[in-house]
Amino acid sequence: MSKVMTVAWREFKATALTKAFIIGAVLAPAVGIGLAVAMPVLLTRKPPPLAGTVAMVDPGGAIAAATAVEIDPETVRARIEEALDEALEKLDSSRMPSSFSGDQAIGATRDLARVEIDVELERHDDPGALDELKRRLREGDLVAIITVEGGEEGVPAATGPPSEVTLYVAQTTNQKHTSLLEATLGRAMNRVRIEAAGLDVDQVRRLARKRSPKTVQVGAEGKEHREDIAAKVVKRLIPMAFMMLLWMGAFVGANYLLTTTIEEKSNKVMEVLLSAVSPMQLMAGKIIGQALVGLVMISMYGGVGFVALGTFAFANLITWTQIVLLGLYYVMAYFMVASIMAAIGSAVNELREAQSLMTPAMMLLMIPLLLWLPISDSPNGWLATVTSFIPPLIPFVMVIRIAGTEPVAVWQILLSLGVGYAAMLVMVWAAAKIFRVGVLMYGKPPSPLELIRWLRYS
Amino acid sequence: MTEACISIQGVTKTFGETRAVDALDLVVPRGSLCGFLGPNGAGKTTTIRMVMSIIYPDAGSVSVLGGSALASKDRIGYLPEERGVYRKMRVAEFLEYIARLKGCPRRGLRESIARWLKRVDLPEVGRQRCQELSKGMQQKVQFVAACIHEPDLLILDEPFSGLDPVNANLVNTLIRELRDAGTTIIFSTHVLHQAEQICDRFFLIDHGRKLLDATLDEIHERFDPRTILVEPLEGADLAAIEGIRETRPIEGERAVEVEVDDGRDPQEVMRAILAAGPCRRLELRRVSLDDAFVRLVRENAGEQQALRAREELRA
Repeated sequence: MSKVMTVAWREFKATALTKAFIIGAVLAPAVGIGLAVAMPVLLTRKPPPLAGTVAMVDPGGAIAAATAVEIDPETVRARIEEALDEALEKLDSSRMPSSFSGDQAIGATRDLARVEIDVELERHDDPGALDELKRRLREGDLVAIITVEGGEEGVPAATGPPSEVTLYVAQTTNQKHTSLLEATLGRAMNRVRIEAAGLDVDQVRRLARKRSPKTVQVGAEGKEHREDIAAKVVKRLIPMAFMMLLWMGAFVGANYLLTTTIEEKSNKVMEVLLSAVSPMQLMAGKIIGQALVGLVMISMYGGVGFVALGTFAFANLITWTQIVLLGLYYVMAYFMVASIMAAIGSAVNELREAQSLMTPAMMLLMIPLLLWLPISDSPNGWLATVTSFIPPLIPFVMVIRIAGTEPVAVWQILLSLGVGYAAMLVMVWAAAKIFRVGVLMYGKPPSPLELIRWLRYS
Repeated sequence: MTEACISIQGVTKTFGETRAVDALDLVVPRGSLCGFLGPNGAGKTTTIRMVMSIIYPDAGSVSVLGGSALASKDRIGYLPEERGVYRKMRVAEFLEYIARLKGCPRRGLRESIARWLKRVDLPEVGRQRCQELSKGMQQKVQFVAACIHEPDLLILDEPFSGLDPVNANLVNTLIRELRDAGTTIIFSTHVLHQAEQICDRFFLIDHGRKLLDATLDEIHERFDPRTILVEPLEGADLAAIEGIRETRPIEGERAVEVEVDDGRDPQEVMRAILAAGPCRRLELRRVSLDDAFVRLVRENAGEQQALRAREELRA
């Protein structure tokens, strides 16, 4: 056993204590944690006030008048409150788990809400004044210029084409200020049209607001709870995050296992090792060492995710049971993938030769990625249930299910663990057989069929 | 010398269609320095791997240090023919790793590694990465890796290949020192005269079969000398002399080696050479292992195979 641990420790040291790994697996998530913590701080940063003169060239005068109303700081604030409500409702009714539009909408309106406005409108009737105004804009004398051409805005029951409104801003204008001016102008044009139709602006806007129903989940024990709007989106993402973590952890470790095995073969250190340990001990040590590497990876990235959830106060969405199960399924997934990689690594002389053997293995292991969407949409559907008991898919499918919103039957979890671990042992046994033959085999790399034939060698 | 360090009985190992080792019997006495000889592909490495219990025989039994080969793993040192180090590992780390795998306690290991590196004239390399060393240096590091756990049995597969004369000499001295300290050593090589210089016992194998198992004295006794060294004063026509199988020029010398036909008396041939013209040198050579090997192959497998064997030995 101590030999196995000696091998495992070297394997871990040689992989995890390298610059590349530390940068990729430790530093990157650490920066991620930093960002996750810093994000709320960054979001609350106040944009500079929008202050100065906006020139408006509107011969008709209707849009200019409406703009004067819309740009009033009180109106802007009320409007933003309203937009925020609307965005939240949109988020609530959003069906697509990957939709970030809601988040973005909230973020954008929040930003706008904080802009202090102190703008003076300077009205011009002569379109010929534009050149002079542009010069003033360039010199910083003006914040923006708005021109209105043609159209019949303001004329009751107008049927002609709408007027063309252009907003000129300096290249250096703050993006948030530009958005604010755009939004204001849009509202002003809208206001003119409503008024021209003889309707009450506030009433029309109230009526035009999009409304969405609230969703209440009725639990098995009779508990009902209204889903937290943002939590709902996050919850949709958690199963994918869990599966990606598992996938990454299993693959990073197993991939290193493949490369170190090939390295030991190609630099001929294998025979020295085998003079001290049996092939079984060597393989066991290598697998354990790389399992730790994968675990470091998972903890780092998982940690970032957890901190990120914590920052936005969603940490309670993950339970300890889920984390424990994730651990159990990680071990299963890793050992399955690792036994495949160990077998392949032992059989070839160079990384290049591994590619042809990797293709069928990779195809098998891509399946969970394709299954993610259908399974997370229907975590207790037939597809999810069936794939929960097909060995190489078990851990990946099950983490999607246990991280999902619908509870999974306990017997299914227990059975999948049983079937999965049994299958895992068979795979490790087969890999050990191939490993024993492969490590001393030099020359032409074997085909997948030959690999299977090696199972029968004593 | 009486106790057996390795005892191989009736061992056979086949790889697919090839019979690498064929009903081999071998006894290596404890404390001896044995040459394990034969051309490339004779089955040496396969036999050694079975002694190391890296692979297992299809038939027969292998006993090492009085027990199963597997149980004695930690008491055997092995320098494989295929040399390899972890390129990125530091030299001292690599040696520590191998020593730990061989069951060395951690205590005192660093000192022991430093002592050994000094012994192979590499006192400063411990902190360097293996890939920074020259090939010869790497080889010495591997030699240390084979000896670091002070094994009772040391197996060296082609230990001199790739070493310059100075380092070869150093390794040669170390091998003798280890032998004097009581380590049983197996020295496997296809360069027979290297073994001839240091070994006290020889096993010759070819095509997985044992051809010879004897001490140097026994070999000299068994094989009468049939090679004559001739350096004619002027160009004498040796080809005309009867009883000469083959004439080989010696590189860098004016002398030639003359191989006497079987069944001919070498003394008679020498007289004939003298009669053909004056010689600066004329001597009957002691039988070399190369000669003995070629002759054994000839006896067992005929002239064709003997020629092949000589070619292989020269390669």
